[in-house]
Amino acid sequence: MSMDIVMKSDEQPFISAPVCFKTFAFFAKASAEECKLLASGSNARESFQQATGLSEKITEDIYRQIDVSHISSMVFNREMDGGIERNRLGSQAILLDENSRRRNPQFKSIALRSLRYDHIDHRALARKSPHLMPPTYIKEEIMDDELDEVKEEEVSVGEAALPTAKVELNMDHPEKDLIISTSVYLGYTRTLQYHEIRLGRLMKVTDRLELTGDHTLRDLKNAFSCPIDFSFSDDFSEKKPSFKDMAKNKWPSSMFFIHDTFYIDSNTGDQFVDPSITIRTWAKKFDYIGPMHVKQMSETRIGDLICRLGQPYVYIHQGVCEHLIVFNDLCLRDESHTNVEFPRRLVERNFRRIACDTCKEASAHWMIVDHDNLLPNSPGYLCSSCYKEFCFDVNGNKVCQFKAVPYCDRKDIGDGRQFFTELDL
Amino acid sequence: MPKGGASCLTPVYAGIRDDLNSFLRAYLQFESVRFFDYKVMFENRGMVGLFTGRHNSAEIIEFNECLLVHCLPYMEECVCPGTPRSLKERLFGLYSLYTFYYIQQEKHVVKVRMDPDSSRNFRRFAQFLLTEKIYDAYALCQKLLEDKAIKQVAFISIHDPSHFKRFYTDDKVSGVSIRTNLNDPLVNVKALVEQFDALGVIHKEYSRLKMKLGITSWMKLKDPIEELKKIIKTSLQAVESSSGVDEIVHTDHSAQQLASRGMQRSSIKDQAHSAALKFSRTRRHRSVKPVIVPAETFEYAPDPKKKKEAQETMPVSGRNGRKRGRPKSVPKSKVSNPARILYEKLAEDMISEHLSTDLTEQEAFTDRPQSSLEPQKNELFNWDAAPQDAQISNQTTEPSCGEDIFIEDFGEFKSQDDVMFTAEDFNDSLIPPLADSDSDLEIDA
Repeated sequence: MSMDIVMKSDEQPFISAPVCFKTFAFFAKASAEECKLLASGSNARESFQQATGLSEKITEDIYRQIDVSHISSMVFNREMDGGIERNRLGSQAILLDENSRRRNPQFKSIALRSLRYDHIDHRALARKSPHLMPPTYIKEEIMDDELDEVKEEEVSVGEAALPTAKVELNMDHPEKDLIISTSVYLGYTRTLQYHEIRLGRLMKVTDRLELTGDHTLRDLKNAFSCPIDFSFSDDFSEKKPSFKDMAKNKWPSSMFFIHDTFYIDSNTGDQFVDPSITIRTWAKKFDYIGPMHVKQMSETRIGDLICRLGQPYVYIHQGVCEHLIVFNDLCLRDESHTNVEFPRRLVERNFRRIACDTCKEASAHWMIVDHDNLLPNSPGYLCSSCYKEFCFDVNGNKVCQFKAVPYCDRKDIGDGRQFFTELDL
Repeated sequence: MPKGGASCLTPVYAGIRDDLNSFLRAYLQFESVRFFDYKVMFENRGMVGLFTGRHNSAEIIEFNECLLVHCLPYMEECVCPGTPRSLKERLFGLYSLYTFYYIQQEKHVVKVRMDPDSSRNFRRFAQFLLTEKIYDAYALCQKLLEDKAIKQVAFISIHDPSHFKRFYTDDKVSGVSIRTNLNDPLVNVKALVEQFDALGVIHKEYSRLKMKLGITSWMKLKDPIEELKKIIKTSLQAVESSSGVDEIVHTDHSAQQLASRGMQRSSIKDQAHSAALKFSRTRRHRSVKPVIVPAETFEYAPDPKKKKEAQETMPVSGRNGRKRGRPKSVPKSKVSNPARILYEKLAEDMISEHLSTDLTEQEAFTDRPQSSLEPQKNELFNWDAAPQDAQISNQTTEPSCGEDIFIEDFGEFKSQDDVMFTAEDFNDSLIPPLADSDSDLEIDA
């Protein structure tokens, strides 16, 4: 594919070699099976005795020696003890130098905000303990989990909980147990200027998703949202908006472009228009661009893809909005993915919301344009209650000539039901 | 994301590699491969302090993940192709992996990222340890596998473009020349290839008929097929070099965007450093013309009259050292007084007369003036001027000489009033001294 040539994928440090997801799933499963065979016993000690033929007493002595539970990091009072300065480690010296540049210990520095796992709940990434408990403690663990669930009802992210049962690997369809980590970047409707690209605006992650290899590209499409899909283009000051007037129902065509193939979604109704025709027609004029294929995204599973990790691919919808899609990581399902529903959303970005221009409290749900000095700004943003109180009189008539368009704030994308409730859809 | 990307910041794993290498060097010097000894050294060197000082969950998780990944290279069989790794070093990698995994913080325990190749190397190493009967190390492997510490991933490193500073936007294809419009100008000629066969048949038939009639000039005729082949070859060679048209392709930006691009920071920096500095003279260092200040001379330039008078007085003062200072001062203060001039003349005459007399006359002269002048002094001097009397009395005590008398007279003429009075008195007093001298001469006669 000449897109790799254009992007110089082999020279980029953040782009990997081409990976066949299915092939990796097969070899990863085989490797996991061999590890399981190496520790075939129900307990490590039993496996050790079977393999070495040593007596139980000697085994206990060896396992007593390899115990490292007594080693723990000491707690230093930085102001009184100065323990970090006493340490001879170079990484600690660097960390101390970094901490000294912070304004205060409570301030989250720019270095912390640029970490790989920022805005991700640690329970989705790490376990509670390095030791897996024996089966005898399963009941107690279940009760503890129930208590934790009661306490943490508000934040219900799939935890990396301890396994209640061993996960059986199925070699028939290895891609089912494949976990793909995907990043969705902020969408743009125009070509960015040079200074915008330089400032890094292009690489703003809005969603980080985890899907299995059994999911289709359509599932990936439905896993994230864009405010343009919830936009309206008509005046609704004298009529009620409906689902049909929404942009994603009015212009449902969308597509993924991965490697050399356009993945379209033609099962969206009569309004569908193939968005790849224009690009493919243009590409035929140039010989250095190789042939391009077209497939259905509803029939293509993510586990069947052949692509590069770290290479930006594109998702186009509404004709103009383009989102970069990057596959970041591939891993095999393990006990940490138990009781997790996929697709799983990891990142919850805090975007600045647009508040109502009058009350300054609620988020804006209406955009007022072409008004006769009704508001100081054009377009003016109003919430639902202010819209009714300010733009209409007691009889329900318009106070002046204006156009009202429903507006979906970026912050409310994750909670689309609130938007629909406000509009009485 | 910060400006410039995340790579402009210090990564979380900074310094880990150096710490592990220093610990490895210390471990290699220790002559033991037991895990117990490694554990003791681990505690003594304070390697557990690597986890100190981190409070953010994302930071802790990322650091733990990188720390475990940094232990994997030590377990590989070869450092590089052709260079095997020692068993002790591989054991160090396994011991470090095990220890760091089990001393992670609670609720922040991450798995070891391994791709299928690393996992296979780990299993082979475990089998090797079992064969070599290094049971404590083999027990560590069993423990790690039991707790499912391995995470099967496609690549150990993370591929995320949002964590890289540059996106290589400037290195995209622009201005690439591609030959297009590759038309074949000899298409019509190639279409006539079938006709060439007919032309060959005609040529053969024509030559056969000529031979049959006995005409021998047919040998001069050329084969048209060979001629056409030569012509086609030369034409193809000429066409190959000039076919097609060069077209320039831009794939990253349009020409307008390239033209409107602002000045890059690197070019600004180059311009700043390459520009020559212009040194301007400051006001402090401005030079001015030097001011010519004439030197003042404090020497007194006497009048020509005074010079003549001084020359006249020199021989008189040269005779006696005592008279040298007094004649100089007297003329200066008494130049304008006519009486003083007369007095000076008389004094000179008297001196000349005095010098002409003999010694005996000098003695007699000295005796007489003293006795005669004493009563006159009472008349000449003012009794009010007491200091002058004192001076005179002092002078009289000196050895008696005619010159002393003249000195006394000089002192009397210091003031103008005294000078007027003294001159009249002097004229009166001159007469008695002359009479006295005459009387002396008569007696001697």
